[in-house]
Amino acid sequence: MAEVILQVKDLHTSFFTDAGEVKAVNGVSFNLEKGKVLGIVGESGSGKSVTAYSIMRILSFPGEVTGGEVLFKGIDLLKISDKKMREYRGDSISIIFQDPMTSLNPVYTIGNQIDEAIRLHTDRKGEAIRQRSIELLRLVGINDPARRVKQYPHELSGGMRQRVMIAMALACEPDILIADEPTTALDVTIQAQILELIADLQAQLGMAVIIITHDLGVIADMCDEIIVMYAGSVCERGNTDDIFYSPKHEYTKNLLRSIPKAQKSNERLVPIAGNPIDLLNLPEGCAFAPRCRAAMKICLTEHPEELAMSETQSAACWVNVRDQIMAETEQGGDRA
Amino acid sequence: MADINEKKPFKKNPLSMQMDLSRFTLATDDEKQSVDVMRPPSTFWRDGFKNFRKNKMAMVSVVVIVLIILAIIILPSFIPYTYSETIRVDGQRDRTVTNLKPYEWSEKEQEYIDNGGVLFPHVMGTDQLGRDYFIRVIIGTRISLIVGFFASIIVLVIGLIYGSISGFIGGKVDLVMMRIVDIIYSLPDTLMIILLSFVLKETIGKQIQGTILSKIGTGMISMFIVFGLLYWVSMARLIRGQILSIKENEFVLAANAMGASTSRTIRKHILPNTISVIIISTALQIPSAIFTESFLSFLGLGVAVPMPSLGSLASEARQGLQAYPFKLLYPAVIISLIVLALNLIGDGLRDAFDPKLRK
Amino acid sequence: MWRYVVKRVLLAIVTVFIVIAITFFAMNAIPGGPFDKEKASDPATIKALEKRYNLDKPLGEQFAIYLSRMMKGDLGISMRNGREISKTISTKFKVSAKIGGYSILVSFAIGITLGVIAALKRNKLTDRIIIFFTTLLQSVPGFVMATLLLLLFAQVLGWFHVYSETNPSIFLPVLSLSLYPAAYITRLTKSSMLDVLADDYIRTARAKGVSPVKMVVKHALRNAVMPVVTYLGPMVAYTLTGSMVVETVFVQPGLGMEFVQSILNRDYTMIMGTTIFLASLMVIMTLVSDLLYKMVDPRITFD
Repeated sequence: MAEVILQVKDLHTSFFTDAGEVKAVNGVSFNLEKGKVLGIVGESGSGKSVTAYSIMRILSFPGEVTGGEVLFKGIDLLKISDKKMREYRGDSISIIFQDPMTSLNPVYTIGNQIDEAIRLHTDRKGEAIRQRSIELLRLVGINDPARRVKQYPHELSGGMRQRVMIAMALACEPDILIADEPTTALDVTIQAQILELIADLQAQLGMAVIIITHDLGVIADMCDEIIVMYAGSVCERGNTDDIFYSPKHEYTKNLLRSIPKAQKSNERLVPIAGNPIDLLNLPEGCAFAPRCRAAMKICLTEHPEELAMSETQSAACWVNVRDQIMAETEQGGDRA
Repeated sequence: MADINEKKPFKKNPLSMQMDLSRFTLATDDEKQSVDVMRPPSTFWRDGFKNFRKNKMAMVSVVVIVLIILAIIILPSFIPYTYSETIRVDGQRDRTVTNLKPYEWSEKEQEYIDNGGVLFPHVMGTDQLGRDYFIRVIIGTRISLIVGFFASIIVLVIGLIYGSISGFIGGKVDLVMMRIVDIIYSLPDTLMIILLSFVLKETIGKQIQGTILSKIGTGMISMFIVFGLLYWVSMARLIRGQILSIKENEFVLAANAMGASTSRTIRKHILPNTISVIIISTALQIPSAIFTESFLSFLGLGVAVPMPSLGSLASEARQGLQAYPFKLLYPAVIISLIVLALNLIGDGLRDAFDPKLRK
Repeated sequence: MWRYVVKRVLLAIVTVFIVIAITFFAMNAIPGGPFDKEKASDPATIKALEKRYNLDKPLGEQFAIYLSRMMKGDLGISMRNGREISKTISTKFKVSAKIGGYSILVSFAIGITLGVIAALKRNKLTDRIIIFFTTLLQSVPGFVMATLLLLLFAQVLGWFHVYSETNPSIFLPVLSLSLYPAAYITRLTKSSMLDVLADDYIRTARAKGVSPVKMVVKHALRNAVMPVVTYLGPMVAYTLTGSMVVETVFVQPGLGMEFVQSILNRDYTMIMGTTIFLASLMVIMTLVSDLLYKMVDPRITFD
């Protein structure tokens, strides 16, 4: 059951810009098991999308992976040739992006674009390809697929375009589907539909899914495990209950406080204080410390290690260490 | 959750971690600030000029233009020839002084020197009418630059006024004014310039004979007129666009509770953008004007003889091209250099102040 | 969409009309009438000529007559040699069209190719070389370029056969006319290509596993080339005005040279006819290229 198909080990990625090296991903590790859903949560600039692009090696200039391993079924994707990587992309690992309008080529029909994915990675020929495309459109819930398949992206609504993206990503029945902010650019009403679709397809096809989002609400029901990222590092990871009901990192706690909760409508929204992180000048200690109300002196100088809190949860925060020390000294004091 | 086991088990005795317990006291705000290093704040202008200075080609171009301008201001005082006089040696006409190569002397001049006279060398030789070429090239450069500059100013002023009025008043007036702009924009400008300069030459040419205007030539006058009539439209559109964005911002912010920021936004964001757009547009207009002027002069429709312009000099150089190629090269190189430098400066300004490229 | 087409066509018609009007009234503002310099001296002959050319009628009426004749293709006759203007224009224009047509093709071919290369090899040596040459070419005025080329080929290289009076080859005229637009198109294509390469759908194609070559040729190129189509209008305008210089320098019997000659010779009717023809051509080509762009882009965004 616990077959790990993707292992990301200590991934580092930077963008070498004119202004300096922007360290977007700083030591991210996680495992993804077959058929499970992993959620990666963080604000803009947290490095979550860059992590995904690093895995698929579709970083745009001037980004480069500077360290770590990405093991897919035992093979380090970072070390294989570009040509070999192309065989994996769209076939074993697929990704869908945030804005479906700009993610589809405006001058080709959607049929053409889905056909391309099929033609690249399977042996199908001729009419069989188009048949498969139509089948995929039906799978993602698009009505009248035979007609739609000849249309251009601008003729479809936002929600439908995202469905097309999903169809294209699933064309070759990938082992892993990465969904990078799949609902951010869509209307609220459509968001739920798309998420449901992804969940259904995941159950149907048994693939592993990585959902990347800044919106905790999106992943509340779907994920087996959640990773919270800030400034390119993992703050905390755990299952849904762990994260939502007993967060162990100050940043996570802040995130939860800033979600508008429908029931308590008279409560003030608590935005997170301070400025967003400048990835050009990362501090030595915990990246969140300058904005953290519970920050201690050690937070400013030492980067916290990720320590296990329970069987399912771990966090990288000095507050937990302090709490543990205080608990132990009390006990120790009693014993002494 | 395989990798959880890779994490350090937490139940180690923390006291054995050898940590200084005082480090676990809360950090003060000051301490947090000192760690939270932000990039030094910079204004729009400072950033922009810093970027511009980094652009080597643009900086070199600035130097080149400054040098050229200095040269054409200072040098003529040192050269004893004027652009229109045929050279006389010792007060006498010299038929052999035509088409000399650089630093060459004519027979008469050589005689004069041998007899102890001192003559200023012909740095670029002489033309087919016996005039010193160097001074003609310098004056020609002056003309080209002055024309380019003034034409751009005309375009700027008219465009600014028209665009501002259209933008401020808005409504039907704006609509009509912009329709007019559309029509003018579609007119083929070069043809109109040629036509008008021809017409002007024929109509008022005789009337202004002998006045300073005739020295400039009807070609120049008509060029200024046509620039004033046709070329301001792009600038007007730009200005109007900026005015509209100011109006939009006012409206939006007024509807907002934060009324005090209105003027600040305009001052900090829109105005610098507007000014930089104007500067860049004008900077790129100058080489375009110079192009047009030299084009006209080349066809014989620009400055009036004997006033030289880089274009007319190039045209005159066509005769006898095989024998005296340098007569073409001098004005050609200079005009290309000026236009190149101005283009690079304009591009440099645009790159430096483009908010999209700021990191 | 049709609203836009109608609006644009209407604008073009109005513009052409204004051009004709300006040309006509400007030419007629010249004092002294066209027969000042004619050899015919006695008033009776002048009167007869004036009657022949309708010059005794009020200006407005003359304009109307001119327009109606123009509709039928009659632009009057040249004052210099009495030949029918429309005939002269059509004969001479064939030459200009040939040279201009070739140079447009050459410009697009060179420009798009170099632009794509520059975009792909961004910031590398190839790109810098291309940028250098395009900036240079865009700063050298057309007539300087033409004359320099003449110097280079006829004088320095001694290829006199490209510059002979009896059978002038069109190699040099086409070359010198195409250099500036080629430089402009290169920059335009490069910038457009860079924009396209940064677009999301290129990232999607990459994520699907499309090879780099196909990414450029299939996905990027079509999108990048579209804005270049809008340059067709201004380019035709440039080619037409440029032909005046090029044909003069290289002694080609085209419409450009004819135009310059008629100005120097004060052939009023010829100037009028040629100006109207050239101006109308420019306006029409701009219209065509605008409409073409809108039709080629399937997104069809009109405002």
